[in-house]
Amino acid sequence: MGELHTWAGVVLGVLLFAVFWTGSLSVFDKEIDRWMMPSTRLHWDDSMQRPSLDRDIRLLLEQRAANAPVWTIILPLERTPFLTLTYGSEESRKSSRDLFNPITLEPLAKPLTLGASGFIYPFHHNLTLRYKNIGAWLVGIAGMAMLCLLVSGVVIHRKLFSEFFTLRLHRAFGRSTLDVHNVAGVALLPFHLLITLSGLIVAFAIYYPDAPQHTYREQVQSGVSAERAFLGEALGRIRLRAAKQPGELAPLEPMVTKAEQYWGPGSVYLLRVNNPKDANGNVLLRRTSHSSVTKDIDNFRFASVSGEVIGRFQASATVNTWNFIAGLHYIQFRHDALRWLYFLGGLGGCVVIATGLFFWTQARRKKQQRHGHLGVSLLDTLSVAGVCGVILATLAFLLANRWLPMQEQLFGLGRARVEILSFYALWLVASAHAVWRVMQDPRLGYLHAWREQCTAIALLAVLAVLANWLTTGDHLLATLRSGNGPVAGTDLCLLAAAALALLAAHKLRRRVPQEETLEVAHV
Amino acid sequence: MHLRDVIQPAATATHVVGLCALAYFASAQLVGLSGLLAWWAGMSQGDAVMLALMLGFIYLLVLLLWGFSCERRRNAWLLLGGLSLLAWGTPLLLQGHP
Repeated sequence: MGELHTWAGVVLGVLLFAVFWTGSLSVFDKEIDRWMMPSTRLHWDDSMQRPSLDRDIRLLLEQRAANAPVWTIILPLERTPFLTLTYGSEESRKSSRDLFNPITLEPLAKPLTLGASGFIYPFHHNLTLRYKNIGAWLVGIAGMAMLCLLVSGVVIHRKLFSEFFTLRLHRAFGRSTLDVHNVAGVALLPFHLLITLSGLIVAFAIYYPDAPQHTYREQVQSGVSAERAFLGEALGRIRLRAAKQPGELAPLEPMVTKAEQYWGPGSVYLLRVNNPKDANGNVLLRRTSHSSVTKDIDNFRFASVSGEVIGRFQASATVNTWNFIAGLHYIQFRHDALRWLYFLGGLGGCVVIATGLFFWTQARRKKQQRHGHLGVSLLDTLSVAGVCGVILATLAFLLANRWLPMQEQLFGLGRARVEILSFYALWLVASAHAVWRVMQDPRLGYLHAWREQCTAIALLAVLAVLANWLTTGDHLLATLRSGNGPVAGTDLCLLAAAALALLAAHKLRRRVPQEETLEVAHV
Repeated sequence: MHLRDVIQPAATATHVVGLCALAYFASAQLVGLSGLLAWWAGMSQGDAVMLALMLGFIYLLVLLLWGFSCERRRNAWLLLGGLSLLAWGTPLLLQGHP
């Protein structure tokens, strides 16, 4: 168990850190979106009058995508305070997306960014490596390794209870690092078990694609895909074919009223009109998951021409168990305090992973360097590049968002793509810096690398706050005064990150002479 | 450098990767078998598969922890291999029932 804990952590620690870091940020993905998309910094609450579906929204759809085979209407919510209309084909439902002010129905300026929900969140679950789900598999392997690390950690730390109360920050670096690793690991163990296991379970279709094959054998023999039959029965995902005959779409408001008679007022947040101009078209209504932990997948389906109910899907108790687990991971429920706890728990995971990596290198440094082994130098480099590198890359993403000119095309690429390239480019530079520092001085280069990158984090975080002020006029005092929580919160978190990074850089600066003295004493 | 210095880490790496793959294969077969058994026990098809899928990650975790804590590598391979074979073959032998 000890070896499993050590090597799973060493081999997959850096990947796990990136997943936990982006996962923690994804807790506030929609709030970071408000920071990155100034045109969407609006206010909405449930007491406000929704735009009329038939009078206002349908007109917008007819003007913009009269012949699209699918219309999706996402009504404004507190965390997404704008109206979203998407038009696309059955295969690609997000091919075109427009945002509108929910009160005036004026189109909002195109954000020209994927934002946190379009880049940081996908990075968290698939590393943006979508080809054959390679990224999702890597994240899955890291997730399973995390579960093994948590269980094996409990087994190898026999004095778990006493370790929980042992935190000696002023002792030697190795000792204090291990104490932080143990205390954070033990205190957050239930949260980390829950979040890791739920993260794997929500992506079951990727990790166990053949699961329905035996149970749905009869359907397979009659030519129906087992996966499709399972998704239809368990999750209500069905597709109805178009009749290829013209049809007139019935009013949408009565459909919403009908569904809300069962679900409660204001509970419908999404309408999907499949084949709006076809005689066999249908309208799917989904309800929000704001008032419960369980992710709600229930839906109503109406015939688009007659407006009659043609189907109502209600998840079974077993499927709702999965929905509950998924809801625990997706955090779509409305509870700010819990959201902050999730965020802090995720950052705690980052601390556990990073301190685990430090402890491994600290414990082996002298022995391996005496024998000329490269293991410690390699892990020093990976730790700096993996921990500071991904934080710097995130800051580069935010800075690029604020500093790049608001043009659809930049350097021959879409603006959103240039932001993503900035993320990877700075990560690459941070990695090269770590390699250079560690190679330059295998004994103490890692300390210089940590210190310099911590300083860079502090600098970029402050620059991001300034960039937001200069490009939008929304400085911190103004956003605090106006109650613009998402933007003020993001700025405050950036300033807190800068302060912590400066503190770390300061402590590392004091540590270099101490290490040099120790080295001389050993010689 | 001795040949042993190369062979030993290579053998360890092969053991680790192979055992992970075998544990995953065994868990995937157990998921299929569990779904089938739950369906036969009276659950609806969708519920049976969903239950089995949620259990799959627990199976995998237990198999990995058990496999890597085995003192003899051969035992881990034999038992995980045997379990995989059993979980893979049972539905094929029994299918045709309701």
